[in-house]
Amino acid sequence: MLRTQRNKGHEGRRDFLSALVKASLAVLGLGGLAGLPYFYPFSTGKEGALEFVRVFDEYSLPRRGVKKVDFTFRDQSFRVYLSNANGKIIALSPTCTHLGCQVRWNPFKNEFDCPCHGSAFDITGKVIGGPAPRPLTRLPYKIVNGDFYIGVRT
Amino acid sequence: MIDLIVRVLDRLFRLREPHKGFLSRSVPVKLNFSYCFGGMAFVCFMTSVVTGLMLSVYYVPSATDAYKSVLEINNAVWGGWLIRSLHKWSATILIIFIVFHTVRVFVYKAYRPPRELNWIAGSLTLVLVLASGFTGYLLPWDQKAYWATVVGTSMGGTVPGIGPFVVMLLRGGAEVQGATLIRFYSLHVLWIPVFMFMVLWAHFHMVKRQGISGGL
Repeated sequence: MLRTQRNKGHEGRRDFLSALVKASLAVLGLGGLAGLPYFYPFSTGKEGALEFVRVFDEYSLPRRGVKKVDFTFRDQSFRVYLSNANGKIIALSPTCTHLGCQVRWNPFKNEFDCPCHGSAFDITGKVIGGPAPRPLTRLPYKIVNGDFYIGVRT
Repeated sequence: MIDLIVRVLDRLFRLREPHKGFLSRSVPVKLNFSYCFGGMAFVCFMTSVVTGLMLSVYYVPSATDAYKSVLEINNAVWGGWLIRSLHKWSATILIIFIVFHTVRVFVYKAYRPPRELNWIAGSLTLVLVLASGFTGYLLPWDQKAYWATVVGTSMGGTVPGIGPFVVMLLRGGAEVQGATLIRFYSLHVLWIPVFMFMVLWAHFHMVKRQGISGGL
């Protein structure tokens, strides 16, 4: 039943194919050397220096509660939540510390809610529910000559 | 020179004799290109292995750094985007070729005795590849990966009786979390490849011993 191709006259073809296989393996091996730069340590790129952006004057700061601030700086848009819990201003990043969704201030429940996995943060950014591992990131700010500046990295 | 090295190595390990048939074995007359699907699947598998080894140099299996390290591979590492794409696409095409190969073996009735065990080895390969695909899908740790794994693991909960236990076992906790990521990473880069190589070794040596079945 099982006829095979071990006939006379096929040696040339067999030798050729076997040489072809070996040659392609060699080419593959040498070609792999071209991938060596992959293993060279990469530079993460210089992280932008901290820069302070004037947002508004200090009288626009929230007397109590939370104020959402949107601004653009060098063609990048930023959103910051300014909260005033007990007379002290805190600038909070809206990026959830769980998986990076944008949290929203919920004035009815007095908390920041994450729409993705239900993390909740109080007015100071402390975790009060959900899977978030850390409080919201606090951003540096300064008040100079009555103007309010927020520190951002571009 | 190379010939000398090969001869010295062969005198030490005597690997040439049992593998002599690799490039010069008897094959049926009526071969066609559909017999290549298994080989193509193996090429995809080896591509996945090599690119996977390369990705593991930079990938960090932790809930806080996984996504960041994937972005670094894509944007900062030299050729990293290419290696990651190769890994993803070779894995995808691997599954397609395994399915084609299975259909070919089925149509040509090549699963019949004496090759029953090799059909089983091939089926195990398919299961392992699907498991590797499922566990690998979580590793980028983005929203799609997270929710796909939430859905996928919760399917285990429908097993009668032991469902909740299965879900806990898959997730390493009640929720999909950092423990799940490390669990899937371990499966993806250690457990599954080890069993893959064992099963494939058996698969290929059975082909070598039994020859290719004689066609329709």
